[in-house]
Amino acid sequence: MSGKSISINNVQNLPINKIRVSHCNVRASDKDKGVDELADSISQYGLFQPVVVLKKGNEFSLVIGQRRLRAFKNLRMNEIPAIVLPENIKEENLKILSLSENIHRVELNRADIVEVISYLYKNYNRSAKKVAKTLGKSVSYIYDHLKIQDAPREVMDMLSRKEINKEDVKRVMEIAPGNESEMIKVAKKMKKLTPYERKRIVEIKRAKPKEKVDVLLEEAKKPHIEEKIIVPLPPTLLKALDSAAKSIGLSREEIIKKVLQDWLGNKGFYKG
Amino acid sequence: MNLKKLAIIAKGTGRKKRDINLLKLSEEIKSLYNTYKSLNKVADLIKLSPEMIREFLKINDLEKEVKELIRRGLINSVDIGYRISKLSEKDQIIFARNIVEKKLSSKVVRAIIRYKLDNPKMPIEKAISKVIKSKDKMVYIVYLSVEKGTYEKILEKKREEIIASIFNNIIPKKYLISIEVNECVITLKVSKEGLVEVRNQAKRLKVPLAKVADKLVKEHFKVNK
Repeated sequence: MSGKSISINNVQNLPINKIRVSHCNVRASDKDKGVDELADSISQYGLFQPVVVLKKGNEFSLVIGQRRLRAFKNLRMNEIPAIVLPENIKEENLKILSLSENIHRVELNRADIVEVISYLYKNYNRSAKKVAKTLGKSVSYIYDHLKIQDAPREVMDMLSRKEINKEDVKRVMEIAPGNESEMIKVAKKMKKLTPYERKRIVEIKRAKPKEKVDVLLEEAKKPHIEEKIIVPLPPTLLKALDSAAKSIGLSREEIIKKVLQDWLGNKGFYKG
Repeated sequence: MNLKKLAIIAKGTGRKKRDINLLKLSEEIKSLYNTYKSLNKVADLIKLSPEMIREFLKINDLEKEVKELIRRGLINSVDIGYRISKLSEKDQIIFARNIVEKKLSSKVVRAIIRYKLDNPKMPIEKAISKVIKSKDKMVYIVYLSVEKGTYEKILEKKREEIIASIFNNIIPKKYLISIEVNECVITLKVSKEGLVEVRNQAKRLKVPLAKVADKLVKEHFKVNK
């Protein structure tokens, strides 16, 4: 059963003091982010989207709308419009509903998204396709998040606090695979590296897989100098080159490289 | 402005296609937003993504001086404008001036903003300079040649010196890394801007790049006859 098939009842005005945040609400971080702005908007224009709650005896458990609930509390309101879910709904479905809502509407903390995707992936017999379908996201989105599910807790906490981003967590895991303390060390230094240096450190790691992390960090700070050789050719030669490229299905550069290798090889200058 | 016209304009959000100033367009989108009060509704109306609408709206909140640069067309990318909006008011002005003076691309702008946001205490000037310095450098090695007949017409003892001086005069020092003249073959090591200078000379002389050195030498002797 996917989040989309959960049926909902009508909107009701519920007393705020009867609503508790459910553990199924996936927003574990950033709970206060933007709440003041949201409160301003609510006081000016009202609430466009009701919160979603689950009836639990005499109280209600909040599944969706933690920020909206906080905004209402800040505004000292007594009641909030809410959609009430049936009591018999499964916990997994609540998690999915909460995540789907949050992914699509408000930017959810990346670490929370990773946690829930990882949870669903394990519960769906490691089927990324099924997770993707459930959340209405692409399979590549799911895989992209699964790549960092095994990052050290400390790194994931940094991701939660937005001290590092998802791409950098992936880099950290590639730079120091399986070495937790080294991963944490690199993660802490990532912010000080410029985006070009962050990209470069991975390239250096790929070229020198056994190099120590400290050396990689130093090397990354040195800009590379790439040389491009330009040899202007007479029009007749260029025409011949183009015609060869078209006929063989190779690019100009590939042909030139091949010709150079052959010629230099024949003359004994190249042993590639 | 009517909605249909706005939709047509907004559709061509690429800088080259757009025939309306970015600031004007952003103001029109803001007035639509003020009417409908929903990013999704405005996005639906003018067939753009809600994210794009959000970026256009941010242009309206930029610092006055930054808006002036946009109004004058010196900054005309919605992506760049949106990125600038992530900075403090003071930093916005300094950064926008740098974008215009240094002709920074969207890619570099994105890298600088990201670095600055990761290091909020770092002065914006330092963030700009650190990111630019950390970019990989591209050096172009250009092989040119002078025809044998032209080469032999130059006074034997001064051949290489004269050819080098011709290129030293046309390529600004900051763009020319080195020049080597070995008989008729000239090897130039230049930056991207230096390569542009050499290509511009070829355009001016109406010859392909392969013949630019020969033509420049001939022109030098014609002028200095």
